[in-house]
Amino acid sequence: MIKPSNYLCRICLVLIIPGIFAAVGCTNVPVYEQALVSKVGMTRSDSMVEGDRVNLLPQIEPGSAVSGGAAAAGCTACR
Amino acid sequence: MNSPALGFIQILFMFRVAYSIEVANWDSGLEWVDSDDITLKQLSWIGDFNSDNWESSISLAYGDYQLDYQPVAFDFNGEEKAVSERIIAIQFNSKKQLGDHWWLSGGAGAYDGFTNYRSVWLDEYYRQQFSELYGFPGAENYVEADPKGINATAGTRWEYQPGNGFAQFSISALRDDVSPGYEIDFDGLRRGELTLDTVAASLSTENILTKNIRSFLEFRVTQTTDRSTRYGVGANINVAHGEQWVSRWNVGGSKEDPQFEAFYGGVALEYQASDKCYIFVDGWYYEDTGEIENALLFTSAAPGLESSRVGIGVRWIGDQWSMRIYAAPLENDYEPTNPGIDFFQNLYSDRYWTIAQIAVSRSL
Repeated sequence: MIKPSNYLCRICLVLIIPGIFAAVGCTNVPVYEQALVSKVGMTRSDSMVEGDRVNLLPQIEPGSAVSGGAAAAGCTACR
Repeated sequence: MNSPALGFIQILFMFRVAYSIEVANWDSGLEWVDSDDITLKQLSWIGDFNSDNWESSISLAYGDYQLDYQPVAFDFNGEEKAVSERIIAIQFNSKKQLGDHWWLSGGAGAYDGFTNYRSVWLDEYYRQQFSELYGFPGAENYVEADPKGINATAGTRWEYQPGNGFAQFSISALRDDVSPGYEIDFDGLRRGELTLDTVAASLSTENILTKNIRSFLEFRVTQTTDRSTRYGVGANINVAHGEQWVSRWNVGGSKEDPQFEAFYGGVALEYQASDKCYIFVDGWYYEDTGEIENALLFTSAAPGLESSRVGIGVRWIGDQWSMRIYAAPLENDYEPTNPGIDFFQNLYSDRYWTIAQIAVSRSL
């Protein structure tokens, strides 16, 4: 089911593709042309209404946690 | 350890705190995640309040876990039990503008209770196995779990390209009293760490790439007691396809030596049906290689996991009141373990989950 060798390629894609977009982002879009990027659904928001986050999901998918304290203290052998 | 009366008193206290603050806006949400044997609920409230120089928020959360604990057939110490636990959390964050393009931010928070259902399940397992070892070497190492934690964070935000590009850095320190893990052999019962310290740093950048594309990229580094450093990255790109359609693309992953790796990605498509009403569908995929562990035979570490969901939701944005409703079925599939020796196969069993969310916000 899981092929760990594929992860390195995927992580590289995760790093490279947004990196290219971030570099392109050095172009300047005037504020008066930002109506579309400012509409609902386009902005990042902590609001539970305007955001998409499901707070309980990292319990089921622990690797998707974006902030981290201690993980579940499962066993003395877990690292 | 847990009672409905205590939970009710805590909810009343949280809303008393919320009521005493003059807020500018508030959000409240209820999440419900359910499978055949596990039900998770979380009630959250966030209030924003501003002064001349500071933008601040306080958030309160109450979580409830209901588990039908089921030991494996060959666990002769185990017994079926309905387990109920809860968590209560409070967080304060504040931000101050230092100049035209700089902000300083900080925050602190605390919680009391279990942070996830897996630690509740494992705590019940260890209680049934090791709480009554009377006279066995190391029996005194067993303790009743009392998980709780505190955190503090500080950061800065820089608008490096006015109106177009932002960079943000934050660093956090966390201390968690956890429900410990245990192992037993002929030398006796051994207990894992009771307190874990974590330092986490995050560097992110948000950019407007074109007049209809916005991007976000984040790098995370986390160091927890006795563990290797965990690295994480997440990115999303939001694209406006004209006035009515928006797509949001997400991808991310995390890695921790020697073997934990996780990858996830998803896309959401949103349609503006009217001035105030938005309808969206999303799809999400997640997989990981399983928890890092070095146990020889019996291990409570999670095996590799594959998970996916498709959801649908509606958002209504009014002048003062707004609302969001979302629902999704989620399927998770763990890698098989050896069913003859795995005491934790009922914890890490494949499940079909139902996710439901409802959130309301009000601008005052």
